[in-house]
Amino acid sequence: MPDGSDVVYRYDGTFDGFLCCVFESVYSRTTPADIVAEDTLLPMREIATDTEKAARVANGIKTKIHVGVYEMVEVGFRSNVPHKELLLLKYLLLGFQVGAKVLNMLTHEDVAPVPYLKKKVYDETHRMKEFVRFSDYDGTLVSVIEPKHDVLELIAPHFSDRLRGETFMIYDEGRGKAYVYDKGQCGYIFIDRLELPAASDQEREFRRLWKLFFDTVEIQSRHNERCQTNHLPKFYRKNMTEFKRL
Amino acid sequence: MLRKQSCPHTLDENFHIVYTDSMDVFDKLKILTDAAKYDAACTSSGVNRSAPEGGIGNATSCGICHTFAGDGRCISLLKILMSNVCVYDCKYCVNRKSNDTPRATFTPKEIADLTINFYRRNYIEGLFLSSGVLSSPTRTVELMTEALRILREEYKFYGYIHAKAIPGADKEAIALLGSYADRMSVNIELPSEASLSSLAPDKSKVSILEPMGFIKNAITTGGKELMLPKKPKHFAPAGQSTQMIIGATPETDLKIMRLSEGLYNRYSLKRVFYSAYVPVVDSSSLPALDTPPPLLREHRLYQADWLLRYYGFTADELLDEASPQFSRFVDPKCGWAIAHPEFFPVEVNTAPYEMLLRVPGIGVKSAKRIVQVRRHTKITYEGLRQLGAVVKRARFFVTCNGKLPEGARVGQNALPALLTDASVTAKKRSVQLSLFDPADPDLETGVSAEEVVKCLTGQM
Repeated sequence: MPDGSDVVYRYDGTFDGFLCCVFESVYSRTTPADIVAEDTLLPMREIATDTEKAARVANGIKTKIHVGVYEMVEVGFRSNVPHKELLLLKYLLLGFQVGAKVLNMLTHEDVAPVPYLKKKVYDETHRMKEFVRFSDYDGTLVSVIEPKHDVLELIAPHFSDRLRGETFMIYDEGRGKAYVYDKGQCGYIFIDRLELPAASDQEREFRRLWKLFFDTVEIQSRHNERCQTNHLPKFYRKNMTEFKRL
Repeated sequence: MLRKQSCPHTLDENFHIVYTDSMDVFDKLKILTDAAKYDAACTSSGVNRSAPEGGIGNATSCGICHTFAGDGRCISLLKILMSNVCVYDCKYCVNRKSNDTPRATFTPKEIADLTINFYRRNYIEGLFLSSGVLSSPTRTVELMTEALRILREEYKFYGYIHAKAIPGADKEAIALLGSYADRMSVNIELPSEASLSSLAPDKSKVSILEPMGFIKNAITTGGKELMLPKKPKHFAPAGQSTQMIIGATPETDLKIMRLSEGLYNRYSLKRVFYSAYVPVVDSSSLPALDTPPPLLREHRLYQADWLLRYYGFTADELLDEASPQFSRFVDPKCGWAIAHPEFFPVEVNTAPYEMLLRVPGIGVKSAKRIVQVRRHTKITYEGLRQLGAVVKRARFFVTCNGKLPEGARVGQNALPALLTDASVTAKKRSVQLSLFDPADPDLETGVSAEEVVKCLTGQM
């Protein structure tokens, strides 16, 4: 069974790259000290990304352990939690050992942190569905977001369904990538810097109306900023129309 | 700057609305949002749907809260009145006929335009539309329906619509309204017939319960046998809800909970909303204008409401004639557990799910996880914490493998102090709890001075 080891795996930061690290760990029968995407001073082993190898690992997880475990790992990987790669690797190694049972072993030290990663990512996905704000530029809807976790791919289907006859773009400013959709055609593109045209009069009018509604609907005698901040942390307000000065 | 009783429209000889006011949408929105905000219903939940080809919008059954107002409440819908003109004179309502307040009326198209444009920008999940009563309840419902028709049939909108049925309107009008809506509601307003007839004589118990019964039947049959121009695909698929005002009238918590229980059972409601009374008009039959809204009482009622719907409690288990009000200091579930020591401690590894649910600190999610995990592993005190239970509370009521956790062996008398709601004791404005001065409405309606003393010294 995998022994402890001082080696640190270095990979390219992608999910396929991570699966190749899993492959390496399983077949070398060692558990690395850490898995990182940047340089460190510790002894490192470079793990190359091979999509075929990654696919084999993915398939192995789904068939030898459980489809639910694959989802847990794929979603958990999107989180920004430090050392997520090592947490997920240990979870998978246990899974290869005991099989589907690992899903229920919620009190085991290698299992307990993992559902937490998945929860953080899904919570943020839900929040993004709530807090995404579009502006209409001549018929095209554009939204800028800055999620902590990598959720763009997870919110894309929701908006494609919701705005199916429209043309829109959601731009993840922190990661420089955007989801583009045009009446059924869709894809991802990378943009270093997004420059948007000035908003039209009509667009500004709807922003004004929304801000008016937002300010008016509060019942003053129930004012409770702490409650509001608990539900809507200040971090998310940067790209929300009702909190901007018009 | 109030307009003296100006009416922004008249009715022509065919009872069609003729808008005489040239107020712009901005001003109308201000007035009609202000007028609608006391209706507590806010969810966009209950329906999963995608738009077909050519349509726009979808609905998610868990609901989506797009933002949160300064009072902490979720905003998921454009919540407006179509008009705050009203021929009724309900004493607690800011829109009552005799109140001098600016009046406005949206055209159906203005409502539809606002909704679709807010929706495209992801500000909202849909529309919540109510109205003051214009000339007659039936006519009001017909006008509201026109706004919904434009949204559904012209703009091909498949997002969420919550429509209020106006008490007293014809069944046919309500049927057509419901065929366009996802959720419908009729407000109970006040928790007893006596209060209703004293404060809102234009609305009778019958005029409220009759449409509720009609809507319930229509939902059950899917609207199939209603006389409608087109057979609807569905009828209010997200169900029916209602709202009552808390603290305007003297009903006890017990009476309110029994009423809610009856409404859930008899009318298959999805939700009952409790709205803490906010004084907006001066009246001798209502609390004074400077009375703060009874927010803690409203919170306790929501906690109890959850116990009815998800935890298998009945109203009579939580309260009785001897103590008809919820405690200020402990939540209803804790209150029940303290009063029934004969059911505890509960062994987490063997107790049935229904009993796990009754342990303070174990919620629905934790209880389900416990049941799931204990098939494979024995659960320890530490394991219980990892599964999400609030062990700080649960430790007094459970055993893990027959053992009581450390620090859990306490006398019955000490429990209330240990389980007191932290938020209740740490109030921001430091009020010296006087035994003689019931300035706080929560103290007034709830606990007597004697009970306060008993609770603090652990005698309760």
